[in-house]
Amino acid sequence: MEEQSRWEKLLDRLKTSLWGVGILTSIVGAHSLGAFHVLELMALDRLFATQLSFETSSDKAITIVEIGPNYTNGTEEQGYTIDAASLTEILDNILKNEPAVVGADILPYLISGDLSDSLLPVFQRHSNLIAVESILGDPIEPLPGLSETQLVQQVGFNDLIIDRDGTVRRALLSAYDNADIYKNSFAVQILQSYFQNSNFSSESIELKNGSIDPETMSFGDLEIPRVKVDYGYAGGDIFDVQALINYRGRVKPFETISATDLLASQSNQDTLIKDKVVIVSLIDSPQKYKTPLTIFDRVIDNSHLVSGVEIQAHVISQIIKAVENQQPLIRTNRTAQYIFLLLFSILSIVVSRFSKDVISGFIRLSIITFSSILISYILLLQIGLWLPLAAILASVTANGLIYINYAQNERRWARLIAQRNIALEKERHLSEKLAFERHKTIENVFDSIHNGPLQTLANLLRRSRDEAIELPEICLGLEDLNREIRYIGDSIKQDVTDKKDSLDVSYAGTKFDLDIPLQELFQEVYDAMLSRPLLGFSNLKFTIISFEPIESEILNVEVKRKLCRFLEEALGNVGKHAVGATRLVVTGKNKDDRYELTVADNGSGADTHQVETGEGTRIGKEIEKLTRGKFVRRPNKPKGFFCQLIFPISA
Amino acid sequence: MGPTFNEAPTGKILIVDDHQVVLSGTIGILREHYPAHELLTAKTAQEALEQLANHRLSLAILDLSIPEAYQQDAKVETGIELLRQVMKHYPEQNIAVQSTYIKALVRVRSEIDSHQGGFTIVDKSMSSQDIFQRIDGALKGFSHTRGIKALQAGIELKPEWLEVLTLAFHEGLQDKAIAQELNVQPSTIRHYWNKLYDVLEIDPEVDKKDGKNLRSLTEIRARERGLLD
Repeated sequence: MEEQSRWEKLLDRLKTSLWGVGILTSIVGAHSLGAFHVLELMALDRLFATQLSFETSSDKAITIVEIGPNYTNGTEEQGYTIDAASLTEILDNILKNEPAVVGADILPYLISGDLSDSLLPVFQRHSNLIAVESILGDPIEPLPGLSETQLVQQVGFNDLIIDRDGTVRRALLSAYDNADIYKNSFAVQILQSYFQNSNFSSESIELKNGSIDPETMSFGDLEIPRVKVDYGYAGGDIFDVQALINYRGRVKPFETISATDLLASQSNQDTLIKDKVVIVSLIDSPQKYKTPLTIFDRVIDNSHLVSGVEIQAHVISQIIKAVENQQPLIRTNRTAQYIFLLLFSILSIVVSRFSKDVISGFIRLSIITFSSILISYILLLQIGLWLPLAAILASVTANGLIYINYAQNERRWARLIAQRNIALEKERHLSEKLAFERHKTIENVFDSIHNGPLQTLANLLRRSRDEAIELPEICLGLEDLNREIRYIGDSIKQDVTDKKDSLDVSYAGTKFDLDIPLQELFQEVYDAMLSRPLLGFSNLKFTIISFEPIESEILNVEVKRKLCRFLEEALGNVGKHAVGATRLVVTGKNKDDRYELTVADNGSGADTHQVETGEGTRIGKEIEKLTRGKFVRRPNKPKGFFCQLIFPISA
Repeated sequence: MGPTFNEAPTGKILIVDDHQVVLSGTIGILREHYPAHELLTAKTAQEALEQLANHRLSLAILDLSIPEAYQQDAKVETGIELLRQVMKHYPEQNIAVQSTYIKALVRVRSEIDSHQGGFTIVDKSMSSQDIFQRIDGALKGFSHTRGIKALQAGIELKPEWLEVLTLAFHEGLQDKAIAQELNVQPSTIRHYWNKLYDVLEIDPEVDKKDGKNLRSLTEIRARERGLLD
């Protein structure tokens, strides 16, 4: 029984935990299939946007120089171009102020005029001047006339990778071009040059392959986390070395100045160029891009869209900060993802499953949800770890709701079962009580009949058999019988309405209150019995009678009733069988811790066999059991009968 | 020992009855026969117990149907309970029960038989002369309880009484020796004799007046009734 219920409990636990396992499996499956990818990106954007509002300081390491209409040709509609001579003038001006590195984010087809005289010599003179090309889609060749070394060291592609929702989240750091030549991006070239010239550390920070992940690149000890399948992007999207861009700070955290303003003011040149990364581009580049920061800005106009050069600045800035200030780059890891997913799911199952009520269940669930968001945010902020927040939230919510519901159902069931058990218990008590009452009533009625009318009847029968009775006496006897039987009936009805415990004595037509002391009840029973016209009493010369007071808590009403019935029965037997008795002894005595109730006569003596099968024996046995006493019947000396009950009176 | 006639017996008698008429009647009878006695009255069980506590009484005449306190209903049960209390706390108090419900006394029969003071039962329907005789018997310490004996029981007696008879008339012992034999006080033996007079229907006052010896009469009656072989 015990064993079985333990098994059942275990089985039940397993069954209920199966739901959680099911939900978790589906979410993990969906997550690994990339179903959550869009949601995860949205969650990441949200976290970036939140992070953004904390960081307000601008990034002083990078200056963006925009070349405005003063130097350019063309219109806004057709796009601007620049003359090589003008560009050379601007670059010369910037370079003479000793920048760390200068990047010219201007594709070659936008530069007109003769290059060999003006622009190419600048590249020759300054190895820290970087130009752009494009290698994806329709490739755009770098500036013609650059040397091999210059092509390798001073040109980088400025291609951006745009996610399906039009947002730029990744930076392509190096890639193979159509001719299968491995090339670095514009940002990487700038960084390489920056770290070569910077005096940040004694050793120069060189670009090399990653040591943990050889397929990625590293600047000195800083290994750039490469976008892999773990990041949720589809296989086709992932190629070469890509990194997630950590959009810290504001949308436009970089110092941006027009070329006109810069060249006009020497103080601007002093503060914005020396030892800095300067990126030069044409104003109002036709292409604007969405970043994660843009999505959550409620601004309708395009002011929060960013230009390609700004994205390049973001990429450069984060790697500089990662190297110099150990600011984290965004990374993720499958193991970490699953650990957190599992951890939060189990936590939500446990707190929901064992919640005390629905409200506390929801409160706990909310706390778990909130802390999962908080932990994701803190991890992203502090170590750049990107958690599958959307999957975690889905799992926490689904598990939480299901198990809150389950716990609620379980509580309702437990309540119902408890109520049912109480009701059943009540019913059982009631039926037991009824059965007991019924048994008691039957016994009582039986005793009444046996000690009353049956005795009268037996007396009548015997006397008529002995032919010692006249007809009028028989009539009187029958009238007595009639009265006695009716009395029993009335008395039962009366008992039902009175609900009072009494001993009804049909032959005396009266009831004795069972609450009065036992010795007084004995006296009353004795008196009523001796009033009956029974043969055994007719020759009595004297009776030795004495009932000593009996004080005992163990005597409840039922025991008292039975003791009276016993005395009634014993005296009835004397009346019936003790023909010719002249002495009767009826005594109740305290002896030590016991009470001795004795009825003895000196009559003709009853047939022992008859007595032992008679009613007296039944009551004798019952009273023995009830009082834990001992009942003795034996012939009296020299004649007659002796009947005694000895029962303990101390509890 | 047996009562003696003093010229002017004195003492206090308590009469308990809730009916003024009965009270007056009883007081009339008592005034006539005991001019020197102080008569006290009580109408409730509580009052009666107070009087009993405050006075040393020669006799208490109790009614059975009385109220517990004023403004309460008169019940036989109350009277029986009062009687129980009196017999329990004043075991040598002379008592006369005057009632129309003397049958109710059956159940305290054992206590009455054990009570050491005089105890007589007076039916209110008896004549004044008879009433006085019973009251007088109680006052003198005798017993008269035959009105409540069981119909066919013959003579009802306690085992000790039978022993007194046997020791006195078979062994020829005197009271003092009987008391030693039974390990009780001599006064208890006197009380047993009084009970024996009662069950053998010997009225000590009347029979003595007739010049009879009570002990001899007892022996004769006991042999007649089969109490002595």
